[in-house]
Amino acid sequence: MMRYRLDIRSAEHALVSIDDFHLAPQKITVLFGESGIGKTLISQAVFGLLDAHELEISINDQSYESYVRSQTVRRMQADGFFVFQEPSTHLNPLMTLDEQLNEGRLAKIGAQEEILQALWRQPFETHIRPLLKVYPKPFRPSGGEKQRILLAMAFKKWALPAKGKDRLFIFDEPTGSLDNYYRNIFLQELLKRYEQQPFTVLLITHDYSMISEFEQKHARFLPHIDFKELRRLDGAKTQLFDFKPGNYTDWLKRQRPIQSAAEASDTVPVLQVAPTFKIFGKTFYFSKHPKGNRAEPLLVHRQELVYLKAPSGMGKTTLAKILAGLQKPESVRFELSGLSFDETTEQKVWRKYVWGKKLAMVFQHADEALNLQANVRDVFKGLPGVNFKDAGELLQAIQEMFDQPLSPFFLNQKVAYLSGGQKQRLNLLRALLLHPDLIILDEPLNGLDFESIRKVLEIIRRKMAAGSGVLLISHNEEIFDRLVGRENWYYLRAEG
Amino acid sequence: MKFLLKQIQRHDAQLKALWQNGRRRAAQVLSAAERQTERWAHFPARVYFLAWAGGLFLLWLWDFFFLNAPERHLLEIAFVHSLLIAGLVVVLSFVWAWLTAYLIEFFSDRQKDVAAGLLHFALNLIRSLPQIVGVLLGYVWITYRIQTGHIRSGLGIMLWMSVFLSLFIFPEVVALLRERIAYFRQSDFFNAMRVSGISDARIINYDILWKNSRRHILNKMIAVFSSAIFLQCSVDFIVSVGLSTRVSAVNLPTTLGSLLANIDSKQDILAIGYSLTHPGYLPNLFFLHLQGISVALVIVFTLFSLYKITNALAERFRL
Amino acid sequence: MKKIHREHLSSTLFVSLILFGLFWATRPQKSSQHLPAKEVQNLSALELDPNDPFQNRLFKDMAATFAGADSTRFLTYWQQLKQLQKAQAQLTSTQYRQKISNRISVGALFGMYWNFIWIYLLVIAFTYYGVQTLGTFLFLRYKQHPPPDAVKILTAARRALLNSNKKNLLTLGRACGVAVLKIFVYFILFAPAYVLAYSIKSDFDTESTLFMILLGIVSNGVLITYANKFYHFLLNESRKGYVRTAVVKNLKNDFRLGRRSGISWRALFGLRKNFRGHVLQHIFMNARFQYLATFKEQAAFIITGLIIIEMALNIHGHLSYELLQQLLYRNYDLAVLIIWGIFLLVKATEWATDVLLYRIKKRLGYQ
Repeated sequence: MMRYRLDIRSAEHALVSIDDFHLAPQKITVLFGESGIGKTLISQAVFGLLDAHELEISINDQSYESYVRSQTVRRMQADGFFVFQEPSTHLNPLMTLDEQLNEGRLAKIGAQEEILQALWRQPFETHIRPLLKVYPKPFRPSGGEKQRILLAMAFKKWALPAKGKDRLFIFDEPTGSLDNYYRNIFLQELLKRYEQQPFTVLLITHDYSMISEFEQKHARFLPHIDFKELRRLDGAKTQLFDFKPGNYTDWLKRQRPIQSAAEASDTVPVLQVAPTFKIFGKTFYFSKHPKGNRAEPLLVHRQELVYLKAPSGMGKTTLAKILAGLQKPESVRFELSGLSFDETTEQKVWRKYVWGKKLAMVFQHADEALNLQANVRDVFKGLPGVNFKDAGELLQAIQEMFDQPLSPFFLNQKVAYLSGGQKQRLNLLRALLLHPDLIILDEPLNGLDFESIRKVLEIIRRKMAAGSGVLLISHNEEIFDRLVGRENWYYLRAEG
Repeated sequence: MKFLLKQIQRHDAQLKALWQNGRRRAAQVLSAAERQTERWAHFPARVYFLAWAGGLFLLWLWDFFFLNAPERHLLEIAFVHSLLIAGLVVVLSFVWAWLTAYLIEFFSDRQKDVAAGLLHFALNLIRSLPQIVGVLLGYVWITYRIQTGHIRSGLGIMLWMSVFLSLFIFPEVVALLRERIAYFRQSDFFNAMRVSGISDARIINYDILWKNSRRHILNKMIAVFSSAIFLQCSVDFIVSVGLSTRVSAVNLPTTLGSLLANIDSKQDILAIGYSLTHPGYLPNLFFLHLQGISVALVIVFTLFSLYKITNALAERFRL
Repeated sequence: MKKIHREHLSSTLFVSLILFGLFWATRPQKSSQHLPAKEVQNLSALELDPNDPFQNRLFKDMAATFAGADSTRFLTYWQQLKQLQKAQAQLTSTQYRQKISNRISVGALFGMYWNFIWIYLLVIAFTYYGVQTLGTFLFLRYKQHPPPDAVKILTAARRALLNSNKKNLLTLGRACGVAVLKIFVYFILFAPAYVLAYSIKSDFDTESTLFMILLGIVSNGVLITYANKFYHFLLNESRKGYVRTAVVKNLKNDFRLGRRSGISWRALFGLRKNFRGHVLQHIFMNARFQYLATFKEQAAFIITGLIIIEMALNIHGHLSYELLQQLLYRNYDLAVLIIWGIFLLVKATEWATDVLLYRIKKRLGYQ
């Protein structure tokens, strides 16, 4: 067993501390845990990637400098690989993808075409070679393509002869930018290699639906997979627990579609979007059937949860931004609470009548959507029509949403120091306090652990009952397929 | 005799022990100092600030003992004037920059392209003119106004000096503020707050600039202070050199730059070169050439300390 | 690209137009262009004093008596005579003669401008190299995390005190020597040009072009300011994700200078810096890209530095010295002409930088 006692702190405060972080050699450890709990930091520390001079790190009671210089870590780095989350920032923007795929020890292996073809399931010459000449930019190649390039690097490294016996490959949120189709391909490719010659894998993820994929399609590997969850005990102190896959799958089986309180046909829709819209020179349409070609209007009524589905990178978030008046399309037509909008509508209309009044939107990354330098109290300042008499009233509102008693000091806590789940709930609460007619939820379960997922879903349920229509955008299909009635599913598709 | 020899030997041993003891104690003191310095090294900005203040105080103390009173008084006045002008420049640059950055954002958001374009154009125009030329033209205007009797008091002159200095420095601050706003606009931060109905003014002024950028701004303002000292000294030096020899001088307040241009100070500075080739003359620099050396030292040491402070802050806060 | 050209061209033309207007408005008036009327010339020949109240009264009475209704015409002649005499007085005044004598021909100005341009280009080229080299050196030093000099001296002193052998004394000497050298170097790098120049004026020819270039590079804080900026670019880039990807690809990650596994001195001092096979290559190329964007600002700073040097050192026959002279003698037209030249130089640098950045971004697929 690879065991680590770790303590990491910055100049200002403790970041993470764990007494026993362990990985079973030549097994696959799937690690869950809410975002911000320290999974990435711990795994990077183990792989010797942190800077000993920028953080105070102690690992197995020795200094981090001596740990990084040790033969074990050198071998770990020489034979293993680390696939980082956020592929956009982990590729050099000034080098082509091809150059980056053929650097360092990766230059010594020629199995590139085969690996890429397997990850793309597309012919190399026509679909992949042109992509390799591209320099990575924020929007092109897509997040999914960049993610697969990083995975290809890992598989190239795997193909190299190893000096050490135990090889450690760490995949930090490797499927965060992939839709289920490509996620499953990645898992298949990973397990194929594992089957050829077992090696140690640490797979960090928030995607609980991976459990179902393992159980349904790769059951024979289950004895080789450890499901673990990192939980916060107190402050920065964390502990590794076994995660019983059954907890999730049983819970999932119990889920039933959230029922609308009102009959949709009786009420006027709060949002009605024309069947097609155009942006970036492409025409998109809504369909109620996964393979249907008939374009239909997108309708959301009060007290109704509508689920918009599309593959990753298709433009779901872009549509949400168009509806919220944050992006200009080439053509669009929609009605929101009795107001008509099209591509010529000026932003001042949204500013005057819509934002915070008729519509609220919850963005997918709570870390980006909230002011991390502000304190909890500040998050609710400046909201139109939201006035709390005193701190006690605000605390009560937050407590209701958090479904747990909170100390008054919580209001003065810096947002940056909250856990991922707390941040996401604050993110939701800000939108929900506004009592808008329509709430757009963009990936509301992003970065949450199982416990937080359940709490967030309960909040959505309650808010719907209070009268808002909800448009939901998520690629977490396994959960939402169960929570949203099939009659409320829409597929976003592009023409041609 | 034997007894005497024994006594001497015993005395020698005692002395040796005392010496060893002294060395050990001194080593202990050094060791403590070492640990303390290492601790201080964690807060370099504070250390450099204290070093700056302490260094200037030591210099003043030296001058108090070895520089004649009228010259020392002149040096004190020049220092206070320079600091006052630089301080005013910091305040003015900050106000103008904040206002300009906010107005550009305001006009751009509301599609008032002409107004936003005009502000951009004005900023580009100021940037296209080297700072020193702009400030020099400002000084020409000030001297004209002094001659015509419109500006009379020393404080008024210093205020106008600060106005012109800040006019050519504040675009740097605008650039920083706009960079910060643009950074947050790119992320979901800005949009998430807007769709919640929070006003743009609050998002920009409170959430972005105050909550997320005040360390950056503080660091920039220290750099502005440094730029103001440098530019002010340079222009005052240039103007004093030119005016003193060719045309009748206008009475501008004494600053470090004008004091350095003073013939005595120049002689003192020249002595540095002389002592480089005649090392025996070196001690005289600390007693006979104190005015010029002190002014030069104040300028260079201030610029160096401010650089170190901004650098330390940038590293500590990862700006 | 067209947008870049359009923006720069329009602002250049606009500012040039304004400056030309100023030049035209402030140019000295030639007396031949404004010959007074014949009647005024005749009055002038009488050597009258129009400021004498008695003569003034007499002339008015005569005009009223002899010309009657037409007397206002003669009163205008009297006013013109006043102005003519004032202009003649100004022409003969010392200040005006001095002003005229200090005017410089446009041809001579052009020669100075040419000189200024190539000095500027040389300074900018050397600074470009110096900033990257010094910035990278500072970054490599940071990566070694050496203890502060004060700690080094204290440690060496403590060791020398406990055991005064040759080695320990040498170490103490070296630590003190390095600290003194650093102070000296920092003094040079932060000193305004005039402090430096006057410090060594007695022993060197501080008016030579070579000295000017050297001062332009090292003094006024130009080199250290931008080297520090470059160092911070490197530092920020080194914390980015792609560097970690490079590390796990097993690129060299040792930042020690002169080591086989680290960075060679040759690579550091090379004109075209190449750290291939090392993660520094990734960091460096991204930092340099950001540095290019600050080049416009740096160019303006360098020009400011050069102007200070020429003005403060009173270097005759140089553009900025002439600018100061012409401002002092109120030859504003010539001052405007010089400022226009400097403006064009700054603008040209900005233009060229924008074009260069556009080309790089186009190659990367951003445009």
